[in-house]
Amino acid sequence: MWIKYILITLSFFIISIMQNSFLTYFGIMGELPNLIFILFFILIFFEGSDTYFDGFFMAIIAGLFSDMFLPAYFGATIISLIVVYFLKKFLMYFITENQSKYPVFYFISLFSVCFIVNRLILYIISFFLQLHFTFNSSIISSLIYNLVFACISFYLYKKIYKKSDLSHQLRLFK
Amino acid sequence: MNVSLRKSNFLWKGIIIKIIILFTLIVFLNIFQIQIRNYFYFISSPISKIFLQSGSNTFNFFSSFLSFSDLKKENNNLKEENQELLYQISILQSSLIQSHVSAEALQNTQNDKFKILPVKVVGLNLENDSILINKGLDSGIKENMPIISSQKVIYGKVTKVYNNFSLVMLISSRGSVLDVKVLQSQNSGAIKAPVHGAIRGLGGLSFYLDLINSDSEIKEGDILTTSALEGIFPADLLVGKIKSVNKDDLKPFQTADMQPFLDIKSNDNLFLIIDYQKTN
Repeated sequence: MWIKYILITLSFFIISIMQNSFLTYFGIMGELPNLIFILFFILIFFEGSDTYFDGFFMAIIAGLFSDMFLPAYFGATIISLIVVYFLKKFLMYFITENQSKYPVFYFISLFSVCFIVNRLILYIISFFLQLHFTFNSSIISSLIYNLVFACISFYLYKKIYKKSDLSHQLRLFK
Repeated sequence: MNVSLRKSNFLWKGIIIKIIILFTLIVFLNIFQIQIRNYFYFISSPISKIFLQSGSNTFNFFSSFLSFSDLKKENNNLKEENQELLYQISILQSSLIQSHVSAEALQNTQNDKFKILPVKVVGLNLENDSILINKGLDSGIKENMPIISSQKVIYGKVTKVYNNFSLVMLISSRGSVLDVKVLQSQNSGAIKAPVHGAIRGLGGLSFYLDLINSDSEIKEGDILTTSALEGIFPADLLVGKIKSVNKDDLKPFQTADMQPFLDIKSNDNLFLIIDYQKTN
């Protein structure tokens, strides 16, 4: 069980370093993919709905590694990701019905809403901290760019998720 | 009724406990933020260096498809040469102007000598236009120390110092303001006094020129250098070139779009000015 939390922490650690080194060369119109947010969203999207601890833990770890590279106090991204987590929970509560039929549609719409809300919260927090997050039309290009990476990650995660699910079933049958 | 009330009380208690835990955690993180960040950078910097190198290689690999193989290299060399020449021109122009002002002012500007310390970029954050360098308190780094390239292009200033690392805010960072002077390109050979203005960061490694008096004549191709008015940056460091001028008769100041000289993606060897003090 605890291996899961170590793996989540390690993944966010590697992704945060990658985002602030490797990916800085691949900006389009000044926008970069926010891999930490994408990974966080994918994990909470596929997370079981009955427990809050995992989401809380992931928001703190993802927020911590995001804040590590910001020239301000810790907490801005942690708070925004916790809000995003509860927002996702709240929205999922209303759209549970046809969700399994069109998962990509729900994923894209939920991701878009959460992405914009995350940026809005960071923009509001930046008034109190010495940060310079913007909230203008550039968010559209940023969202589109991030959606490309998010959709790729969504299918990759789904494939891995399915495989592990299948191996569990096989084990049960054995 | 009683059970539902108890349930609701229990739920609220849980929420309040979680908020208290979160608040305590954030306070704890901020109390030890210097140690936590320094430790994190210490562990991540070797991995970050590898990623930076591989990112640069991958970027160059893909960009080589779009251009001829040696064109980029040649372009970079020419850029460096050009910046070196521009710096020399700016120095020459400054000396020419100085010969027309008082002897006192001449002496003051000649005193702009400084020691530099080589540093390496170990992290980039393009969301806030900041970079992480591999020197900190241990190397005597202090806040507000200016950072430049080998071609005397100004990059920014140190905003936060940790034990082994420092955070540098680039001049393109939103909220960054830098006093500059416009060295006007001359066709007639006549010497013109520099026009003073300010560079404002736009984020995304770009900035624009602001606060230029509407009566002043500036044009495309004019070179901008630091003016040393605010006392943090030495004078005559290269900033950028004017791309286009935006003049509005209704506004008291004119602005201009800039082509920055700073190129953080292809230059990870920078220099800190460690002993600059403005002489009044």
